Formats: sequence, structure tokens, C-alpha cells
Amino acid sequence: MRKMSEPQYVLSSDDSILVKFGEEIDSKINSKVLSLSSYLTNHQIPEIKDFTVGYSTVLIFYDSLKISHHLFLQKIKEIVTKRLKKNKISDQKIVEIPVLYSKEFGLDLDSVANQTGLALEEIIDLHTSKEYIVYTMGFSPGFPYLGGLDSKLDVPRLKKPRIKVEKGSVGITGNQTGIYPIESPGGWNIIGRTPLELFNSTSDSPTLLKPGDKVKFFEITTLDEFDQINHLEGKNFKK
Amino acid sequence: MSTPVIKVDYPGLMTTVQDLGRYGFQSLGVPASGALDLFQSRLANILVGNFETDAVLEITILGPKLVFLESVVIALTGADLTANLDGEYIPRWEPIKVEKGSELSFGECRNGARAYLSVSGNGFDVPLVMGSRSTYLQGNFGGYDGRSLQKEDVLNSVSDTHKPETKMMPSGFVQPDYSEIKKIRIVPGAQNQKFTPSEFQNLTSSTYKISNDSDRIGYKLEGPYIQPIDSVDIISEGNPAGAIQVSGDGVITILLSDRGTTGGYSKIASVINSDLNLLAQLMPGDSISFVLVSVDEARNALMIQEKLIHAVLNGTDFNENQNKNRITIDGVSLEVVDESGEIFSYSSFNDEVKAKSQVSAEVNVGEQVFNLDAEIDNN
Repeated sequence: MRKMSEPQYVLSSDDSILVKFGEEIDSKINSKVLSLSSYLTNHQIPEIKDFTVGYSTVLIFYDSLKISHHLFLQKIKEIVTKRLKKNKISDQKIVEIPVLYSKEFGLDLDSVANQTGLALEEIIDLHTSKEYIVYTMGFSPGFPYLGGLDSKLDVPRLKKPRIKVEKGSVGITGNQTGIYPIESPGGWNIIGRTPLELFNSTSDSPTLLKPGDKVKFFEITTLDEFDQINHLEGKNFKK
Repeated sequence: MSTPVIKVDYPGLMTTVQDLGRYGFQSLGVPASGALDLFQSRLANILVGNFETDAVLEITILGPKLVFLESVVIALTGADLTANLDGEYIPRWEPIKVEKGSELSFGECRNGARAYLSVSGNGFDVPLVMGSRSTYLQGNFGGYDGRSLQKEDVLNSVSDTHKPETKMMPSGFVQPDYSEIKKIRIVPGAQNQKFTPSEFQNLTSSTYKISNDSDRIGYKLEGPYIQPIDSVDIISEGNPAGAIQVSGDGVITILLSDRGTTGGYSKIASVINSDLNLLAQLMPGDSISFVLVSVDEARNALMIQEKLIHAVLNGTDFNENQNKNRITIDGVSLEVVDESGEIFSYSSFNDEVKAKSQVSAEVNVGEQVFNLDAEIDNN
């Protein structure tokens, strides 16, 4: 078996270090990312202010008044090389997400069908057949980048991004799929919408998903069903 | 007890509630936000006896008109936006007693771009959202209803506003002249290898103008395009504050507090944290150039700012040059203290030693004794 290359430690700013496990979108590389991210979540390291998770990287912010770059680098290297041996990812949950794949919500369904030569039902089948992993989150609060989309659904980004994409919109591009948690601009091909709330700023755990979680989409077919789930969601968050 | 302290009579260009930022949620895609000039935000709070982390108003270029509903102590730091209290010009960087019913208004933007207003009583009482009171405009959360202030908004203080333990700026403090900011210090960015050394030099030898397309997310710069060796595209990774991002068209943007947590463009360099506070005081049309420094120099610059904070908190004198004495061992800067634990500085030398440019030094680290030749920096 090919040995994976050693992680790299790159200066990213005067108060952050980028730990790089590779340069590709790859589930094996990403599992190392997730293992470091869950280590950092479960251990309070006083000098660390925050971190972000990329596909193949973890960017760690530290308090540069408390510790020098040099010593912090040593500390992080020690964690990555000695503490992550088990590659353990904690609290990985499977989340099932209902999607209404209608032409009203799936603004690019026709365009995706044209580009891929697939029928509407085939697009839905392919999108709901796989289990995806949240590789990383970013772009907007709670936006999950889900890797492992079927290559038959590989379509490029929109030539002209939309200024406004509705909250809950489900998009695809390249071999990724994702969900827009809040209304925002966006350039992915929109194929449906979920009634679930992916982000709630007032909650203690503000996002439905976190890096490492697994996602499975399932189809709902009527607007009534959509509204019913949406209504329940609203109630849940009013608690 | 939460008390109404300010009513907004006129909102100004853009006034938001900010603290030192929202941390612990960037891995979920939640931006840090927080004051762009963290240094001045902290000073404003300290002067009125608040915690550094309390919420202040970040006032951008054209200030609001505010009516006080309670007697408070305020402090203004940062930009000179011609602040008038009941028609009289008021100084910055000192605690000022304000009577109930008074009006604070602003005029011309004379120096800098962002002023910070603190009030006694632990600052402005807006709900803590993910541990912070900072406004994140794009997400419509944090601060005052997730937006900038509007006419008729009423802001409360967290606690009682009377008799705060105010502080004064130390002797040795010189008010900054933000019009003198021309050079911004940088360290190499995570993708600096994607650019040739000559292209990196293009960045540091050129002058860039801050464009109109600049806000709390980032400053887009006008100036020479920067071209990568192959492509600027990377798979999404984290963005630090200060990152100088190069997009596909060669345009560079400095990412600031409200930046997206991750991004897919290469970062050629990163503005150091101490200078992000200076950058916050520049506005569209201002010109800057970049100076490459080491990560240790960046830390030193931050420590000098920290010395001023310490001096204000402790009521001691401030001397910027005290920090010039340092010993670096294998790239690590060490603070030099004498046997009593006092920080040892140039002024501790007698005149005979001061006249020399090089001295022999003995350094005790634990049990070990090092004999060194030390250069004296007479600056």
C-alpha cells in the first residue's frame, strides 16, 4: 500500500498554522483532518483560539501573545504525530435530510438534465442513493460541503452565480453537493430544497451538521409535506 | 441591571455593535466578526472601567447622532470623526462624564476611518450570540438585531453606569496620526510558493490603493495584478484575518473580520495582527505598500501594542522602546528580566556600558550558563 505523505505545517498568518494532510479531495485524507478536528474539539488547549476545517487541512488560530510561533509549531506537531494514531472521529452522526426535488425549488433541474442526459427521476435516484460525508463547512454559517457525489451528476458551476439563493436550497457542482443554510449568493446548480433548518444562531449547537457527520438525502414529493416539516422545525427552535 | 443609555437620533453611515469577536465556531462556518481595530476597541473599554471584551460601537467614517438617556462615562478612541458633545468638540482617549439628556454628534472625518465608543456599565447590552455581541451583517445575527444602527434604536448598558473605575492614558502616549500609515507589514501566506520570487517582490515593491469595493469582509485593492505560477485555485481551506487573497483575475483582497471562514483562492501573504488595527483606520482611496517581516517581528509589534494596554491598566508610564531588548535563541524571542524579575531594558545600563556597541553577557537559563556577545541597539 502506498504510504501517505507526512503532514505539512505551513505558516498562514502571524497567529495561525495550517496543518496540511494532502492536496486533494479524498476521503482518506479528509479522515485525518476530521481526526485532528475532533481532537481539538475534545481537548481544551489554552493557547488555541479557534480552528477551521478544510478538505485536506486544519487551520489553527493561536494566541500569539501567549506562545511563540516556534513553540506552538512544536506543540501541534506533537499532537498530530503522537496523539492522532487511532484516527478517531468522535460523535459522528448520520442525518437524514428530506428534499423536495420540484421544478419550483430546483431551479437548475432542467439544465442539469440537459447537461447530463439524465431524466429527472434518475437525477433524484442518484442524489438520494449515496451516503455523503461532511468534508468541511464554510462559505456561510452551517454550509456543508458533501463529498462523494456520483460522477454522472458532475456539472460545472453556473457561469453567472445567482445573487440570491433561497435558504434550504440543495446544490451540486463537480463531485460535491451542499445545502445553503441561509439566503446568500451562490453558484451551484440548485436541484431542490429541504425544509430542515441547518443553522440557528440562537441555539447552543447552531448548526444541524458538523464536519465528519454523514448525510443521506430522501425525497419528499408534496409541498404539504414540505410545509409540515418546516412548521415543526420552526416550533423546535422556539423552545 | 440593564439600563437604557442611548437613543439613536440619526444612524450615520454605518455604526455597529462589536466586541473582540466570535470564537469557537469557525469550523462550523461561522465568521469571527468583531471590531476591525481590536486595539482601539479594547482601549475604549479600559478607559471607562469596562472589561476589554465588553461591547462598543464601531463608528465608520460618518458618525451618528446619539441622545443619552442616562448619565454615563464614555470614551472615544480611534478615528477623529469630529465628535461634539452638546455642540462642543470632545477629546479622544479619555473618559468623559456625560449627563442625561446630552447629545453626541459627529462631523467631518478628519483622521482615520473608525472610531470606537464605549460606555460605562460594561458596555452595550445586546444578546450574546454564540458567546459574542459582535454584529455579523451578512448573517443578520449578533449585535443589535444583526444589523447596523437605525433611527430610534435604544441601546442598554449591561450594568450600572455610575462611578466606574476610569483610567487615563499614560505619559508617553502619543495620539496616532493615521494619515501617516503608508506601510503595512506582512508575513508570507500559506500559498506563497504558488508565486515566483519576482512576483512576490512585485507585491512588496508596488503601491496599492484601497478600492471602493471594501467593507468589513475585506479590502479589495487597486494596483498591479499578481499572477501565480499556474493557477490560484485551491481546494477550500481556512482563511486567517489579514490574508492577502489573489483571485483568478489577479486582483488582491485583504480579508478582514467578517470574511468567510474558508475559501478557494491562494493567499500570497498575510497582514500581521498589529497592523490589521492600522488597516482598519484607512479608507477607500488611501494608498499602502507592503513590507515583509518575520513572524517574530510580527509578535514583537503586537507586544509593543500590548505594553500600552498594560500601562493604561496599571497606571504606569509607556515607553515603546522598552521592547527593543530581547534575546533570540533558535528563533524564539525571550523576554529579559533581572534577578528580581523586573524587565531588563536599555535604560538599566550605566553610562559606561551605554557608550559601547557590544558587551559580554551572561545568561542563566535554568541550571545552564551561557556566555554571549551582545550587541547594544542604541535606538
